[in-house]
Amino acid sequence: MTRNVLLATLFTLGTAIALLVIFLGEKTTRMPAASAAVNATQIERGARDYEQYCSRCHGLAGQGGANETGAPQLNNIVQRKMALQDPKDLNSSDYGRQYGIKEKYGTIRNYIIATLISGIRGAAMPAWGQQAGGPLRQDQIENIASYVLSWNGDVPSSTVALAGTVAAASLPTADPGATPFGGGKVLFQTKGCVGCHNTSNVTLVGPGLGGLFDPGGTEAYGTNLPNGNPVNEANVLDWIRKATGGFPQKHVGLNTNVNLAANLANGVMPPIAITDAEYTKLLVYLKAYGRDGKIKPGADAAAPGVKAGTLKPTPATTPQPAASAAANQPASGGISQPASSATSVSGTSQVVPQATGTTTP
Amino acid sequence: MATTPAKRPQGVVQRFKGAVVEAGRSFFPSMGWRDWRSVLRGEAAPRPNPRMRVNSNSFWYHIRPRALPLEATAWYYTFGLGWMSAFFFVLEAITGMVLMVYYTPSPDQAYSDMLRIISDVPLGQLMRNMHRLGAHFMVAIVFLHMMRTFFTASYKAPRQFIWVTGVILLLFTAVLSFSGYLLPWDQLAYWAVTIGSSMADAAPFIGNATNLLLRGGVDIGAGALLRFYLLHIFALPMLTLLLISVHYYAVRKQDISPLHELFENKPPTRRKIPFLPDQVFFEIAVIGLLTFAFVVINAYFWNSQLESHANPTQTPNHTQAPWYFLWLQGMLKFGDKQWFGIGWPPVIILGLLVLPYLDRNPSRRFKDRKVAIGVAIAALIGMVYLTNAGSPNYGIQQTAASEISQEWVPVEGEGIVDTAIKWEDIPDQRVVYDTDKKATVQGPALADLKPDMQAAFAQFQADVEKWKKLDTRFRQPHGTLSFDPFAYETDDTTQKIIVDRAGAKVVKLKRATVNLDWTTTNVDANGKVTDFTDAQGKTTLSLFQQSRYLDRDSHDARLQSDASPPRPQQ
Repeated sequence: MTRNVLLATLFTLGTAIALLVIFLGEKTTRMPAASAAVNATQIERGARDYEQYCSRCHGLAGQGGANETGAPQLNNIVQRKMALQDPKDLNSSDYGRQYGIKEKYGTIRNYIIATLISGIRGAAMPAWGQQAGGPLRQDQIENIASYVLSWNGDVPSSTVALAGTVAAASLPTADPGATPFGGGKVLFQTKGCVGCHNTSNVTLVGPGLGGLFDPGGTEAYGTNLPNGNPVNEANVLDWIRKATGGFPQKHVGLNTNVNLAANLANGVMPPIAITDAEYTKLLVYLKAYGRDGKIKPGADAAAPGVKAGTLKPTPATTPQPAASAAANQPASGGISQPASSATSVSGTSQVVPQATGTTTP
Repeated sequence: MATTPAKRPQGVVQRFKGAVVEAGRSFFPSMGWRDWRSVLRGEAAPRPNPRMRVNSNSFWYHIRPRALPLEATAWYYTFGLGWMSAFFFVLEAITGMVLMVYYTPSPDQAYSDMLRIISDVPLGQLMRNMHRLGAHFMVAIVFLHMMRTFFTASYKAPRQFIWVTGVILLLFTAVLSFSGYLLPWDQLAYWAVTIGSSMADAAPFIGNATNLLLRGGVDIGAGALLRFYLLHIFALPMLTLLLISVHYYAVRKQDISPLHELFENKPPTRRKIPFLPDQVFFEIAVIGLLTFAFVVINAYFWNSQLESHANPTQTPNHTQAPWYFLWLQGMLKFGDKQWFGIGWPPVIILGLLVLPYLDRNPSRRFKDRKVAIGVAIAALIGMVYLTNAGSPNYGIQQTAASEISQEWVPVEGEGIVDTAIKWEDIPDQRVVYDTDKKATVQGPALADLKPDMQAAFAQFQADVEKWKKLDTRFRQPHGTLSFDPFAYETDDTTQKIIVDRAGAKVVKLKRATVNLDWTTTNVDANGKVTDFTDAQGKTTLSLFQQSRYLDRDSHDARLQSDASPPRPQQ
């Protein structure tokens, strides 16, 4: 009994002391460490989202897409926005007057978040926030802002070098089916399509591409491209390569005399360098999905072949069914693929169509 | 109870003393301070025993018995499991109330509230850890409590009803724990609950309606979060509390089953130990010990994880139910959802409920219960087997590529790159390891790397070779594992990049990337795996790539060793 009284007293005191010690360490040690870890996790996740959604235009290292897309450099955004002032004096009136950031947003972080959510009116930056109709949740936007602010003027040179080689292949979700469609799915990711498009009818920043080549076309645009040309393989390739709207060539940031409004009428899709061979692979992937976002039965067997050199765009004013029919003709160089090259050892729930191997007529 | 009208005491000290005595009386009625002193000194109780009167005169003490049979308090008999279940219920209630203060049950708020609890609330992380670990402990202990009751045959007449309430309490405990799963609104929460509630969907006739009622819509969203929250903080705890009362009342009525009935030659003893003081101080000592141990474990040795924000469009790899429902998930792998997910569990629960009425064998001795114990052990083995079957290691392996990337650079949780390599040992330049060359193809030579980097690369090599054997479609695999410096660390106030003493910029973010390629294969009609050839008769390559970002501030906290790097000097 006495032993129990002693033990009870001892452990009660011990608990009280332990709680006190833990509590005293909270504000000095644990909470700052936890904040740093939370911030670090935000940056890790922001890096992933940035890579998927932003790097297509702004570059993997935030170096900007000066000549290709005209998207401004982001890895020096703090220095750029504070160019006239002593960087220490974030609250100076010059700072506020020059950019309106202080008056409007308070901090540069808020400015970045607001820009991400609603985009920039009259420029190619689309609205990314869900509240503005985009694909990103608030926490993803804050993560991206943390990541962008973590650069501050310089990034490791190897990261810039990576931009050309790795691109945005690492999706947030490891997809066991990443290799089907003869690499078309990987291309859909590495070319950055996935930043704005998906293969269903859901419009993110760009229209959902499900059913693009079906008789009804996509849900957002139907059977015509934004530039008015009818959807066929040649026109889509032309659109991907150059027929772009919102990105005036060779402008950086908003300091441009180019008539943005005229360009924006055609949307904000940047031009994307793609070879004929890559395009044929991409087509396999795009054609496999219907508007409902599901793989069409037997889609893998209908791998199209497109002969290089036959992909001449057909303008809307003079529709040439013959040309598009020619473009649709399968050629001997057609790509074919097993749709299930990365399926499981003992069966997953993913769709595993029987691959026939070749589609040469 | 003193009824004599006392003269109002004079002076501050007098009045204070009076108030203390009054408060003491209300907690310990019928015992004056002299009685308490004799209790604490361990003196024998006087006659008549004032300690007995406490149980009659106080609500709180009347719940407990005046004295407990000595047989029932043998630790090797009950292990105190029922009592510990109650302890964890109270612990969950207390920590839960603290967490409730900082939590908002809305999808917009819940996750950021969790981040706030972890990083901005003093003792917030401790409370969350205790609540979460306590929930796991409680499920385990309630289950063990049931095991003990079964193997000592305590459910037999006249204690059948105690068993029935106990089985219901076990269900409540599991559901209570599961309903809390959704509240952090992270990926783990979202997908575990998606699995759980979609199981209800399979029930005939009422399944769809139940699922809608539970989720408040077709998908898990704001409605589901609010419903689960209300279930978790109000409905289920209230029901559980009610049932605990019934359960304990029945235990008091019937007493704990006597130990001697289990043995042939053990003579019964009618000895009892007084509740006050022996049992009370024993229990307080155990409460002190458990609380102390639990606080220390949760403050220094265990941290509950928070995955990234719930995302309905991305199913993480290796989604699984909480461990206590894994057997159910395992069962689903053996047959269709309707029969195995919905058909069997009610049968099992019903079987448990009617067990004491089916098992009419009056003897409690082991040797007379060979069938019952045999069936129970078989059921336990089956349960362990099904639990193993429910884990992602069984049956649902995906491609070798996604398994390797899940192991090394997972999207959620921690991979080998987090736990096996020290931050300082990852070079500040691009380093690429190639499994074909068995050497680094970029960056420092393999021999110049730190031992943990070398070991990691060796393990990567072994992993690729292991999966080459396990996955027949992973032909001629070739992998690279690369680390890139990705961003520099900047000072928060000056906005300048931090440089170390040698003048080099300090890297804040590094990226680990797994790249895999293998020969694309086809499965022919006979199920034989063949190389896939394209129109020209050439084989093609399949590619897989996944990256994970590593941050210096969080990286070393994930290390399995306790080494942490020094902060860089500015």
